[in-house]
Amino acid sequence: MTAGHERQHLALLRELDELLLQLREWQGLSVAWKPASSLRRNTAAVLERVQSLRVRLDSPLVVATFGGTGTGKSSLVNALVGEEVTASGRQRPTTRRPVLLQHRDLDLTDSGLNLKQVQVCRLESGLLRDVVLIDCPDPDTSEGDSPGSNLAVLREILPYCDVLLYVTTQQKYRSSRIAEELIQAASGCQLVFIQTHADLDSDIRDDWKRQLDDQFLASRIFLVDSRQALLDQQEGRQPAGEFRSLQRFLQEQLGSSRRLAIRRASLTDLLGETLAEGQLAYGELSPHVDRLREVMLELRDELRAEMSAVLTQELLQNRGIWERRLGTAIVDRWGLSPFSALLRLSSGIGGLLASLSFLRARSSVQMALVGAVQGARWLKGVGEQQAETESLNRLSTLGIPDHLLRSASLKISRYRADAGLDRMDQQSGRELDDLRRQLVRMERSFLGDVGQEVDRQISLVAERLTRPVRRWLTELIFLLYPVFVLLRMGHNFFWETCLAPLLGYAEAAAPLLAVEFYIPALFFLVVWCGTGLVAFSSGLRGRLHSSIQDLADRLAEQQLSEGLYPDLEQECDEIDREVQRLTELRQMVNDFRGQLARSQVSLGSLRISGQPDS
Amino acid sequence: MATEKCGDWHECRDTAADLHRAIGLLEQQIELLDVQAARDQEWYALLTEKLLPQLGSPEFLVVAVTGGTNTGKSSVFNQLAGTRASSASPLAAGTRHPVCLVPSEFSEQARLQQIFPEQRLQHWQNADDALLPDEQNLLFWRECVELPSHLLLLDTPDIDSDARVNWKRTDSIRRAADVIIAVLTQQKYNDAVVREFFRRAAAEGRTIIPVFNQVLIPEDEPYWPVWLQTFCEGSGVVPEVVFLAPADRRAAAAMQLPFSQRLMGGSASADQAEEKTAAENELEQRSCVAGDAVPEAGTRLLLDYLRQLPAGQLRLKSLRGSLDLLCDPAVGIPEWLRRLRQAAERLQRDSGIGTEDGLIRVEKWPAVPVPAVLEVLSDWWRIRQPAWAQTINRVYGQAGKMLLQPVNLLRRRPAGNEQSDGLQEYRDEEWRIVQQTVQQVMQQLERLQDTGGAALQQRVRGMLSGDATGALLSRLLAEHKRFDQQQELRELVDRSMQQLESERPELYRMLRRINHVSAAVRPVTSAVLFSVGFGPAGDLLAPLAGQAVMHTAADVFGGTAAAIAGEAVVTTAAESGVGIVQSWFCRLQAGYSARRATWLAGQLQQHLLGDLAEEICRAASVVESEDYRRVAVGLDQMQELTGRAMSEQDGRDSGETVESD
Repeated sequence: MTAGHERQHLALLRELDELLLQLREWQGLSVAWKPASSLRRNTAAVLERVQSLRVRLDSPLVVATFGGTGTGKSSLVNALVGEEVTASGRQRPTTRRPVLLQHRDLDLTDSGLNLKQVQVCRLESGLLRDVVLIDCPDPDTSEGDSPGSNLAVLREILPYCDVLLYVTTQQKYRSSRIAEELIQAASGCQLVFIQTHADLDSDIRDDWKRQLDDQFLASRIFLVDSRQALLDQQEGRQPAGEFRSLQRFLQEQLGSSRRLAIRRASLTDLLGETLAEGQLAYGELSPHVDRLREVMLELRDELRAEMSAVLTQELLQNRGIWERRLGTAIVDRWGLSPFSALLRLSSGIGGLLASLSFLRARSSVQMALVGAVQGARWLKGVGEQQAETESLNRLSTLGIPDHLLRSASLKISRYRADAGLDRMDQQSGRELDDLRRQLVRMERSFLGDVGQEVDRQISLVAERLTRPVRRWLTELIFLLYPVFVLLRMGHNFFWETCLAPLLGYAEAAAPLLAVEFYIPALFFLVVWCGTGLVAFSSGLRGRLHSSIQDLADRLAEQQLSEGLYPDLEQECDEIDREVQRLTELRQMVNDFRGQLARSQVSLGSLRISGQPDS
Repeated sequence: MATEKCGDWHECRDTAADLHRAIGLLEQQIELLDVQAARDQEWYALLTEKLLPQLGSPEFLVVAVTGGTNTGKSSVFNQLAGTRASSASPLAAGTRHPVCLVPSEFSEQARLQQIFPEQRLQHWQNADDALLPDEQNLLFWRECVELPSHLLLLDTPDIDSDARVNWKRTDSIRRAADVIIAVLTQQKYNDAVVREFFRRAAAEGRTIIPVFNQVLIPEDEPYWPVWLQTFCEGSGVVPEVVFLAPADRRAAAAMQLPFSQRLMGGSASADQAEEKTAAENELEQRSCVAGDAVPEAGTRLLLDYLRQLPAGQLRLKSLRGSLDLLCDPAVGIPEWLRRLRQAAERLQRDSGIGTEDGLIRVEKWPAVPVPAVLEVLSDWWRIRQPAWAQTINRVYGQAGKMLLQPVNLLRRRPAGNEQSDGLQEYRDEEWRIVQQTVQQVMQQLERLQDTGGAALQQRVRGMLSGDATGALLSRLLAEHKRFDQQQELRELVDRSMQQLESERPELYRMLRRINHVSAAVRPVTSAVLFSVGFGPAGDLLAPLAGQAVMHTAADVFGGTAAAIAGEAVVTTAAESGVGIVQSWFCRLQAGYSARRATWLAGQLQQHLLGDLAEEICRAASVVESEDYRRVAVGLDQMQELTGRAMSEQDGRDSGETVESD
């Protein structure tokens, strides 16, 4: 082995190991997708074969004959080594046990071949310096591959072959059984196409090539007369014509310097083919995965719309709570004044009512309105309760009816099946529970948002309502009646009963105002206060209404940041990544084959989908 | 004697025709079964391509030349025909359609069409016709005066190439044929597919004449007996003679292939030959002479042999072979029927058909809420009440509503919810059940998809797709929304009441009396109740007690909830009636649920399953069907007839050869 050759060999080994490492890594990832798992299974088998190729990367190529019975496989082998070593005959089938021809000096114990199964012949022959030649039994006289049949024996040997000499005749070149078997055998092999019986048959190579072209890359087909060639050699002559070219071709193409190239080609073909099949399967299901994702988005939109509508309604319905909170906020800002005292009083009573309604609060919207702090506490309590009872029904209170969720999960499970995602456990409730749980999560984050938003809105409105001018004006108007009553009382007390008689303005002191005055005064005070409160809160209500509407609208437009099925979405993303990974792997395999252009290896091979013609 | 025989064969043909018809009908019912269709079965092809066209028709002999690609079928055929009727090409799988040479008797195409029902007949134009690539199964025919008047000679496509359609076309000819010339070569005589083909032909009682073509003479002389032996062992063919043709392309092209005939046992057949008839002996003599000395004589050897074949006998043999295969317990109709039975049982098991409800199982339909029924019931009574009672009840109804107002407010009944009698909740509950049922049906279908045959899978796959499910759910929702529950309830109540009236008049009368009495005593009871401050409390109590059917039923017959406390007295007075009323009421509810469940089943049937459930049901119970029975009976008849005809034939056979008429 030359130094250059060795370097090349080592570089190849490195590259190959790198590729295998990547493949193993990829195989270790588990994706819950049917085509992905089946591709991984297929690849596992192929990797095993690749491993055996890797071990004997530089051992002599194993070249085997392949073809129908009576096409002259044994004759060809005899002619190739120049002596009659394997029986060729007129009875069908002649060869039942494979005959392995090897060079005298060669040791085949590491080759992985089951040497017990074959008849080994050790010879001294030019060709055998570079290759091991196997004369295989035919694939077309057996009706099944029962153990011991020719087909079974053949199938056992084929995986160890690097090159197949595909031998055919005018009678057999379109034989269906052989074609089917070849498709199986040819993956991971390089092919040499040979028509025999040149002495008897017509040349059908053009037609044959046409037939082969669909599935095979066949650059050259030989037409040989093996009997004549053997005769020539036995009589000490060089065989002539096509047979000589075949010999030369084999020597050139199968020499020791070509081993790496051929094995590399076989290896990459094998991997490329498996991956190509996988990609095809991926391609078939990908649209369904996309559709699943689409449907998830649709469902999310649908549920979101439903949710927004319910929110808006609830926000508008629970106006009372708004008002009370706004009242409290206003009182806090108002400072100490008569009207604020009144407001405080009324909100004190309102607070009492609110705490009552807090106890009764049934939905998270109401909770949000009552106040974020209390709401969170309430929710926590409910959460604990839920952990105890495992009942999630109570929490899906955002107003999304259960039946919508059911429909959604029913649909999703069907689309899931379409997309080839592994089927969920048969316990059908799980998806629904997942969905509910997700909604609860969404609800929780929503509660925080709405709570803050409500706080902001309230402080905004309170701000506007407690501007100094407005405040003073309100106070002024409110004080009109108390001032009037006070004046009236003062007038009576100081003037009418005391000062006026004293100063002579009145003849006698008028009597002090009696209960008859105070009761109506008090009554009217209450009425006045009431009127004031009502007037104030109606103004407040007007403002609130517009800002609630505003808030509701904004909520309706708010995007729900997370999807409904985070797990499923993750799976879909994982599938996308898997498809991407497979494309990259194929690219890598193709690259690995790389420079190995067709011009370099002019052997034939199986066509792989997506592989460009050379 | 001949007429008697003819009668038997005619009867046989009629039976075959009946059988064919019955199988056709049976086939329509079993699409969903995981069983190969009859038309994919060999026996069925024999029935349609051999027995129906040829049973009972006058005797002629169909001779087909068959073999692998490039073994020289067309050369042999041309030589037999004495003209280049079929193009022989060095490229394989060239012959794509059969070519048929007919004696002048068959010059009417209609008659020929009868014999080859599966092929489209075309008149032969030139030798390249058969190479025509065409999707249809063509058969080119021409008259040939050289042929004996009872021979139809066919060239066929190959039986082993990658063009599988060729195999099918040849199989079809094989079925119609009586005599098959097997063109073999040393390369192909032991190919698995070739063996299989001739094994079939032999099993069907065809007479097979092996012709070894492209033989190297004399090198192969010691080999051909071995070839023949291997071939016969592999295929079960028992030939009487074998012909050899030398590997001589020039002679083949010139249609001058010198055949030589060998009797079984090879060249050492001399002692056997003595046992043969004189005619055959003479033939062999001729062949030996011809083969060795005068090649030209050998060229007509095969044709001469065909000419002297006992046509009627061979024809009967092939018919009998076909009939035997048809009735064969392992590969014929009996086996098919057995598979059918098994598949039907399997389907029955998997689909749950045979249990009462089959694919659609509606479980636990919710009971319609009591108040809703009561409302409808009281409406029903109201229009049948006398005027005075109507007035009282109306007034009380209004008063009751007014009285209930504050209570409702206190209980914060959501405003604007019109159907406060629980119908909305009931609707939701119903929809939940609908969804559950859909899910169950889907699971059932999934199981069918996993276990069923291809046809069933095909059908179910579409139903299970996500898009279909979405569409189904929205359609069901729309239907469910459109459904007028109250109308349905009204109809049911109306029907039940009328039924009650006619079936149990005394109960009906009692209820009626209660209704009237309650109206009469209402003012009294309310006055009493109000005086002790019980008025609104009655309202409060009513919904609490409302869950108990008995009380509420009593309430209905009495009037609105306001009077319940007082009128309980009336109901208690009629205590014997209460149990009956209660059970009657439960029946009413159950009746409603049943109607709704039926509605759902109908909807699912219409929008999801279509005919599937019915078809599955039919397929699963096919064994009990009339058509199945007819096929079985036809088969029995056939077996009996065949047995009879054959035994007669055998009796006659020993003496004479059968004449053609």
